[in-house]
Amino acid sequence: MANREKSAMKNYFAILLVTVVFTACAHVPLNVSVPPESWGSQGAGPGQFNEPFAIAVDASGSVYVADARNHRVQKFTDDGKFISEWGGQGKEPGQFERPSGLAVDVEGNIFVADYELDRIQKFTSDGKFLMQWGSSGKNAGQFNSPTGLAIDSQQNIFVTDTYNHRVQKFDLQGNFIKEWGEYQVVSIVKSFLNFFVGAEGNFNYPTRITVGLNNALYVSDAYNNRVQRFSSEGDFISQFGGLGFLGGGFRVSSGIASDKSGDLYVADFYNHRVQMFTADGCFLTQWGGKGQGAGQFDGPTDVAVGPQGKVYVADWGNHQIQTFKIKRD
Amino acid sequence: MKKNLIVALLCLLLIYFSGADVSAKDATQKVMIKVEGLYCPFCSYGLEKQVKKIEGFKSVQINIKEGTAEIEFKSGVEISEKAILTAVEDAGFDLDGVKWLTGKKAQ
Repeated sequence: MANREKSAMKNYFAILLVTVVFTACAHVPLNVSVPPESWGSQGAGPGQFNEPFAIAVDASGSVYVADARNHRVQKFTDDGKFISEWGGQGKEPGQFERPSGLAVDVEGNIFVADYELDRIQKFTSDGKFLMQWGSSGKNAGQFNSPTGLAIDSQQNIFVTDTYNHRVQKFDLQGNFIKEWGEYQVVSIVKSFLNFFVGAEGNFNYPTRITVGLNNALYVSDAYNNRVQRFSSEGDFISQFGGLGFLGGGFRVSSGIASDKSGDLYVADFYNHRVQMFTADGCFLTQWGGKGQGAGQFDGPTDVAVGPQGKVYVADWGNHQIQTFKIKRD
Repeated sequence: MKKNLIVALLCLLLIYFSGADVSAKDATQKVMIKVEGLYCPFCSYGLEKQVKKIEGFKSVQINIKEGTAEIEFKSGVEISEKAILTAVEDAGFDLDGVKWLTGKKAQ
């Protein structure tokens, strides 16, 4: 009996090894520009930040930052020159308590999630209030701390409803279409072993979301330390990550963005780095590390990619935005 | 003479009690809580959101590196530790400890 168990274990490890070898990803030579460009410092003046939490870039390259503790959105040129700001603390239309997520539609309108007021507001590109939807709760169309927004080519907007542990899908007028996901914790050990069987499609505090190639959705499932890929209808496709310090692992996956080729950039909050993956979740490269120097981070919370491929990182704890250029050799 | 003494005494009493009243209004209740699992802004903002709902809330400073939150409440409002516990649990955390820094409960 003992021999049979030993044999079974050997077979199991052999299968595991073969699986790991054949699913390993080929590394593509990449070069990330260091030192990067950056702008911002802690404060409340134009171009300063108090916890820049979310970031988005429109088709013309203008950059929008959710300046969370200053209760505003700031707009910049692609190289960080201040253009305008809007918001201010309050519950009236156009005001914010905690702007937490950003997305830009094809017409250049800006959608802003508010973590505390549980609503989504829509603005023109120069900050004129257009409309809003949402309230606090668990029902369809309600939110409990929305943080991530993404818009696909079919003009659907997806919201990571963080404390309701789900994703909600709306049209751009805020009409509810569908939702998926529920609360499910994957243990630290299972997450470390990248063993997520039975937890597909559920979440443990989903934070950010992005649209990749063919309208695939990628959701940062923050406290399960992974990224999940879904169809536009919410059907689970695949996942990658798992708790870890080495490349490919996460300690609280947060901001996520896709470039034109479908490659993904994922902010890894507690590893203080950004990691790059293929659309299939193969690890490509990473950069960062904890600190205040150029190219270092203190808790990155969001990532965006500009029309020229420049990568923008909301460096939350350092109260600044950093930008990087990726060169493919 | 006697009348002047009484007026002076009344003035002194008035100053004394008005002073006491002012200091009572200025006094706030501060509590430091230790929270298990307070790691990042995606959840620390959630703790802030829940703590703000406690009656008498004035301000909060969260330190995610230490896993602590210092909450200030208005004076004259009875703050129960159960309300704090509920806020912490509603935010998805476990309360590890409560230490009153100022106010009646600190004495």
